[in-house]
Amino acid sequence: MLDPLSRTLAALADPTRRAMVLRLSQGDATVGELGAPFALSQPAISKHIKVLQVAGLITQTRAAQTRPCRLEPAPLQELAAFADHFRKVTEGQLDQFATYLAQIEIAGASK
Amino acid sequence: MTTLPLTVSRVFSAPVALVWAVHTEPAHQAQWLSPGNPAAYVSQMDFREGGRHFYGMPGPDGSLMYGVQVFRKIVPMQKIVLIQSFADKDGNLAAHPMAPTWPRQMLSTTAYEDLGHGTTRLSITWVPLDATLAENATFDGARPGMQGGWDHQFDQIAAYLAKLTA
Repeated sequence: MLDPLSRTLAALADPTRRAMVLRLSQGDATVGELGAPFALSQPAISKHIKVLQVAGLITQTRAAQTRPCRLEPAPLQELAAFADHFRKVTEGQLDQFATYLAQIEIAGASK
Repeated sequence: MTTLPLTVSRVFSAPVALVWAVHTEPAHQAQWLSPGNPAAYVSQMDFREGGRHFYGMPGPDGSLMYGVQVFRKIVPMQKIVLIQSFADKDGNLAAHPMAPTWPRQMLSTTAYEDLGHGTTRLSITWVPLDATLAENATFDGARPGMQGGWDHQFDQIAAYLAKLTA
């Protein structure tokens, strides 16, 4: 059982799927268009698309006969927010680390 | 906007031996992880490869946030690879108390780099781990899928998101 964020990351841990996500960030694309840049079999392409769908990163619309795929922003937004928050927490701890290090170095120097 | 894997790096004008000690010894950790109230910092440290560090530090609201680190690799004054999890007060692994969708486990690599002249670069890299990987993988550089081009690609995704929210 993965939490939603880990599921997003697991889906994006593969370079082919990341490339597909990037392609879709430029606009909707059919399954054929998504698979075209890769020297992969049709089942392999379908499997990658399925992983992205299960992770909620993309949806396949029923609007047109070609059923284009579309990028869903919510999981990516959650990932971006997580990364931003995590970096701030770590930076904050390093600020505190630097402050303390400076204190003990001054204390050591004055001995 | 930021990139993944998360890396934070800082150069300190202190020798690597001191940076290592201050970063890894609980008595020092209490001083910088809990600067307002070092006595509140809880730490049970078993500092060796395969060993475990259970700790608690005051969070933003003053209540203790507990965590567990399991050390995968320790190269004195050079490198530490560990798995970080949140925990309850008894040391059982748990979800983040304020963010239930936070990854349960993070792989953390800390590098201590002697830059000479009494200066040291400390770099911390975090990669969220899924449970299966945490249980099965050997960690030292064993994640090819997360390497190469990820930073750049994540920037592009970030640009896409910015476009959506503009």
